[in-house]
Amino acid sequence: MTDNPFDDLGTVSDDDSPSDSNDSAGETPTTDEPTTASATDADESVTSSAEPERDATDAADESSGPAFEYSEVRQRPLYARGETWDEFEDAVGITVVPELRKAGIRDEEKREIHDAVLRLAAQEPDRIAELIKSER
Amino acid sequence: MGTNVETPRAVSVVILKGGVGKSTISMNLARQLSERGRVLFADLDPNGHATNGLGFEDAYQSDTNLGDVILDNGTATLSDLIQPTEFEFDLLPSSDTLEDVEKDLAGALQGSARVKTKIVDPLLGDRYDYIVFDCPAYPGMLNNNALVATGNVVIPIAPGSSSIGGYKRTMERLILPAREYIDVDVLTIVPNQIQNRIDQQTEDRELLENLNTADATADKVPSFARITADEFDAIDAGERRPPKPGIRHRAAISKSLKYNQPLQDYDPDNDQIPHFEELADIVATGGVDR
Repeated sequence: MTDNPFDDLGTVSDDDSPSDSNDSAGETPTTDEPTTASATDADESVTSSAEPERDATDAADESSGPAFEYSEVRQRPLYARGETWDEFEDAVGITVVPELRKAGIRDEEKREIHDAVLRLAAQEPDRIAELIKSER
Repeated sequence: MGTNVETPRAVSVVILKGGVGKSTISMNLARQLSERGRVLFADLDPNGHATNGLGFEDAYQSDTNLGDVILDNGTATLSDLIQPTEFEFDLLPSSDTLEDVEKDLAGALQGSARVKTKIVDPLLGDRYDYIVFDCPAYPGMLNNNALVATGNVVIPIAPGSSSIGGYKRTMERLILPAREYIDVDVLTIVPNQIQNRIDQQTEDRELLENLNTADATADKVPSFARITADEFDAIDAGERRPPKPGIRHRAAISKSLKYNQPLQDYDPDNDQIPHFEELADIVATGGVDR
């Protein structure tokens, strides 16, 4: 058992590793304290210390666990019409998630999907311009 | 009500420190969100400040509490618990026995997810467009439940080192551990109880300058508290009149609770109401937008 108060959410069985989650979170000067320098440092220290814990939660196979930690995420609001969101969420639910399941990936996170969407869009900027022009 | 809401959202107002203004901010946030959709205001703080402040002392003393709905041996339904208010939102009241529920949750299977599965999942997007949680000032199962149920947090912060310490604890003990299992978005960090000038070296200035200049927090500061480094320079050079950022200390805000009302209803012309409206905007759009 780790000391993470949220461990009841996962099926933790084989974790006896001495460097558990709360130790690392508590001892390192973590958190984005509102002072100029420490904020980004904190995120980085969390990234590195969070790596081994991921195994404890859901260590079924090699691809388990998101490709990157939440601490790497930058939040930005996205503005799109309701029907576009619906279409997007349907596409994720009907195609993306089932594809992932077939590949044995069961724990995809919202951040991974959003990151993939933006990478896809960045690969086809001309197409984005076309879509906007054709809508006008 | 509830016409223009595209994305229903649940949010926790949380900081592991008392007296920073969680109840005030969560209640007034709920009140302003009720101008945009159907709102449930859920008081998860066993001290019941918001519940009693809204005049629901009887519900606070009632024999039925949250545990009767979310624990395995519970015999009550959500309808037994949720109360309509005169302020456009419904209330899920706190109770003086909520600390017992906290203990029972600690022994329950998936105890951190009970509020999500029993309250938020069935209600959000169906009966309510927004659910706002007022959270306890200490770490524990109630806070964990709020975080898992919402995945979104609003963090109030007040001037002074003890409040900043509370912010650090909130990140270390609550948000970072939770992020090993779920996505948690910090929608905004809200400077509250500001009353001193920011053109002098006050604790108020220190808080606002730190929040506004640190990379991790600058994007989370609402517009009503946003001051860029250049603007600070101009203020210090006397080229610019110092603004009055943050939610300001106002007697009406504390008084409104004594009169069992949100600020909007107690003092509709109060100069801080637009700030609560902006917080509602931030929750509705899912983050600070500049």
